[in-house]
Amino acid sequence: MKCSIRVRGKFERKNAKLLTVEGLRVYYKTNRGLLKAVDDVSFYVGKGEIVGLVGESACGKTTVAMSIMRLLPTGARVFDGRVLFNGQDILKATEQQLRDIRWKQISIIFQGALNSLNPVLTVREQIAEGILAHETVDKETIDERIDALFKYVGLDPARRMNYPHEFSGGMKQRIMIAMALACNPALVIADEPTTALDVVVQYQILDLIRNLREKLQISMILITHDLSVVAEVSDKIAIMYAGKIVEYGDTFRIFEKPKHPYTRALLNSIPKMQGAKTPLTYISGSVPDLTGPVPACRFYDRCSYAQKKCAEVEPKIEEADANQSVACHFWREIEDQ
Amino acid sequence: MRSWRAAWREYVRNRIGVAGLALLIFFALMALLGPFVAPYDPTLSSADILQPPSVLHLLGTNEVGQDILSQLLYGAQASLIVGFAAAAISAVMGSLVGLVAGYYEGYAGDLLMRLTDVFLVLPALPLMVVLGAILGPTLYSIVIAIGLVGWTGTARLVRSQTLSVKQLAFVESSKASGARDYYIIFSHIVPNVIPVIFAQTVLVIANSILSAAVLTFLGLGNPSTITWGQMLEFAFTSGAVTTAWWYVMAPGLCIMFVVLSFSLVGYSLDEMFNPRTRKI
Amino acid sequence: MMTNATQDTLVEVKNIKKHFPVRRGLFSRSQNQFVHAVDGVSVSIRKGEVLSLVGESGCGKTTLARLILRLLNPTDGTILFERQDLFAASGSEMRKLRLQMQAVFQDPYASLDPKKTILRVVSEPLVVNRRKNGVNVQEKVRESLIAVGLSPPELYLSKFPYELSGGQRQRVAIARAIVINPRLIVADEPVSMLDVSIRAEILTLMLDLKQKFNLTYVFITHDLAVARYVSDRMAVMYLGKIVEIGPAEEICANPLHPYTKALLSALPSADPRTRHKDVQVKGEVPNAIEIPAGCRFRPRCPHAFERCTVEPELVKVGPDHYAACYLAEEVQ
Repeated sequence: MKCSIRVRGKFERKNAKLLTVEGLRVYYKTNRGLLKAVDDVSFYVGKGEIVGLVGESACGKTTVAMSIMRLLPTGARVFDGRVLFNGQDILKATEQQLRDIRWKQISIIFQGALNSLNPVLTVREQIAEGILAHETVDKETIDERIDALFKYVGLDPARRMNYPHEFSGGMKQRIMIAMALACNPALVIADEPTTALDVVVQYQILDLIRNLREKLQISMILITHDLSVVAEVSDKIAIMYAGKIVEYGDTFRIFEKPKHPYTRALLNSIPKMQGAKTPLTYISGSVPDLTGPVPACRFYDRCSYAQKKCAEVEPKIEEADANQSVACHFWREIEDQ
Repeated sequence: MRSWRAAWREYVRNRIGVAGLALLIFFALMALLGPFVAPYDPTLSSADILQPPSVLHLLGTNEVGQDILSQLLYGAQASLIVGFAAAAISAVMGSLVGLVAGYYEGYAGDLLMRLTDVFLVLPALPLMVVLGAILGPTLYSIVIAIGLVGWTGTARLVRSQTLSVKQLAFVESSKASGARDYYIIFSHIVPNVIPVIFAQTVLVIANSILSAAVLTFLGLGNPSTITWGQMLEFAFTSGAVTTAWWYVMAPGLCIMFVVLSFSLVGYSLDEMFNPRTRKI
Repeated sequence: MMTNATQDTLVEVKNIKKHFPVRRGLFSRSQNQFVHAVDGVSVSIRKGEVLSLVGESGCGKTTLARLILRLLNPTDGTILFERQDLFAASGSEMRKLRLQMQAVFQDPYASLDPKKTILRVVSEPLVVNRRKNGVNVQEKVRESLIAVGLSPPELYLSKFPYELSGGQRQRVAIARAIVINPRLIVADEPVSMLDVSIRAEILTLMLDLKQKFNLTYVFITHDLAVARYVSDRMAVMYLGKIVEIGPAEEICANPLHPYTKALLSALPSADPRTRHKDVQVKGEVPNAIEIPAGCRFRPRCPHAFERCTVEPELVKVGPDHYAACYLAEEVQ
């Protein structure tokens, strides 16, 4: 089981690796066959780093998150791969070890979490519940911690006895973030944390995420379909398409010089607020059906640079640059154009 | 919802559903072909009173010497038909109430739902008995009595389904296109509510058959028509409970298994169509 | 007021208001508490333009769209379609008016009846308005499907919505909207639920159709970048009123209302080099039940001053550019 990415350079040495995903393969059993939702995905998260996992629907990003937390639904199985955290493979951890990791080391904010707050319990009770499930602490410590958490996320600590319906959407998301930080984890996975929120609130939450990273040195995996969100906060991004990572590296570099045709097309399809209005490109067709036979390069059917080789030989992810890797046979030629 | 074939394939995957369906088919055949395969005329009395099962009488005889097996086969028709008819009344009434209450809401909706609540609160069996007694000792009165009492569950279910379908975007689009209320109700709401009505009605049928058995057991209904419930009544009044077990077991088990078969089918259909477990 | 109706005006919204009573308890319908969803909006929609309504949730843009489509009745004010009062129209007049305006909604998974074939879905406006004529219906549906890029149409006619992708369903929704040749299309977040890479396709399609069929669009979205891309004019809404309206480019380049400025600066840009913007606005959008007195944005505005205790009207601050803010006024 080899790690297929090695981003060398000062980037790597600066940050110790906190979490490494190596060759992860997760397949779902469906009545139409085996759905290869995540197929040989590798990346790592450094200490104090925010990694954005970006992709459109059905690319497998949520499955990756669930695999890390060992929260896959029945019907999904990890067929291969390792998830190394502090030298330990989470995928092989026992229940006891998992209990030590979950929430205390790695926590998660699920998609649409705002709606998963229990309406009949106060916010304090819910956060306390999360803490008590993993630690034995007394009431005073809990209250102190909730106070501190609320201050971190920008909420008034006096409101901890309120019920969820008394908070707005943005505040509820802050509560979810507070809950995720309750046991002082080293890594937080956030699945679409700003998707349901208004523009101004989204800005506030992203700002909060940036601050938390600075103040608490928390690492984060930020899962989203919105490239502008990762542009705002992440240090590295991994672009996923149909279960594979197609491009991976430093945020600035990827935005400046995207190398994979999918990334390029994606960036070109975002309408901009500044600058001249150029016609947007779009990608016709749709994501291949992952239960059936797929071309070697999964983007083959929709790629404007596709060649015969792309249908037959799978492009392995290779280092194009310091801090940028891409999985495409012809990225050099495309770049020259 | 998919095409019929896909729906069938999905239904068949559930073993409970298949078992229920098999039982159902068995009883349907019994009802249809019963009179043709019955060995004796069920009304023919003989001197062999309360005989246990034997080669001559496979399920024994009753207190006037009639063959129990033949009675069972003839009685299947009446028992099932009463159940179906009553359930049909419940389904239609309940669906209409639910559709109107759910689509129009407002005062009409509230009124209908309070009416439903009234019927829910009244104890079903005494109500059915009273209705049956008022309407006279025929099978029809049993059908009506059960029908008039059993619609409330369907009404509530249909109303909540209607409420949730009503706010889906395709209903709004329809309105924006200029569709009128009756068109929207029959063309959009009903097709999306029918699967749920269907699953619920199957369970209502099970209930109705049971209620019919109870009512005929209690003495309502036409004494000259053979039904399973009635067989049970005669079994009890003639004191056969303690002496002739076959007399009680035969109709009793039949009732039980018919109700079970409908319940199993209804349960699996509900699993398939329940909007909580799948998208509408 | 800025409803200067001209020959050019297709729809004129006149001081429209929609207040929803807040329900409390079993039977009491209102206790003098209302959600002021739309609280006095006046705007003229010009023939052939794309006017976008932008704003955050609760600003009233969706309610305004439904008022224009006459899916709701107003609490006050009215809307004129080609100088005909929508809410005073009789049943048969209204049916004729409905033919002129159609809608495309946000959710491609909920806007098509899952039990109907594509043929039935797209032909519904024809059938419902008794325009059916046997052969003609099929022909019109085919034309419509070809126009939205679902070609050859025969492939799609007998399919069910669940067999199509999100983008295809949205095309079907558009095909349904244009099949009776309307003048106006109200699109409520038509691309928000689609994948990013498909959005541009649908937006381009909508613009092409506009050219081809001489359509007018009211385009509702919370995504300012999308609004900038498709619209001629943009109207920014806040708590039930329009706070700024003008040419889309102008508003993006030169926003004059503090709320518009906040919105624009809060937008994440797809460019990591422009991070850490200083968004000058406090708190979140308040609920629309207790509207702040005076200027609605006053409690959150960093530049509020004494005049703001009186609610400002929309005043001209540039060529075809109006804003409801005393500061913007003073700049001119």
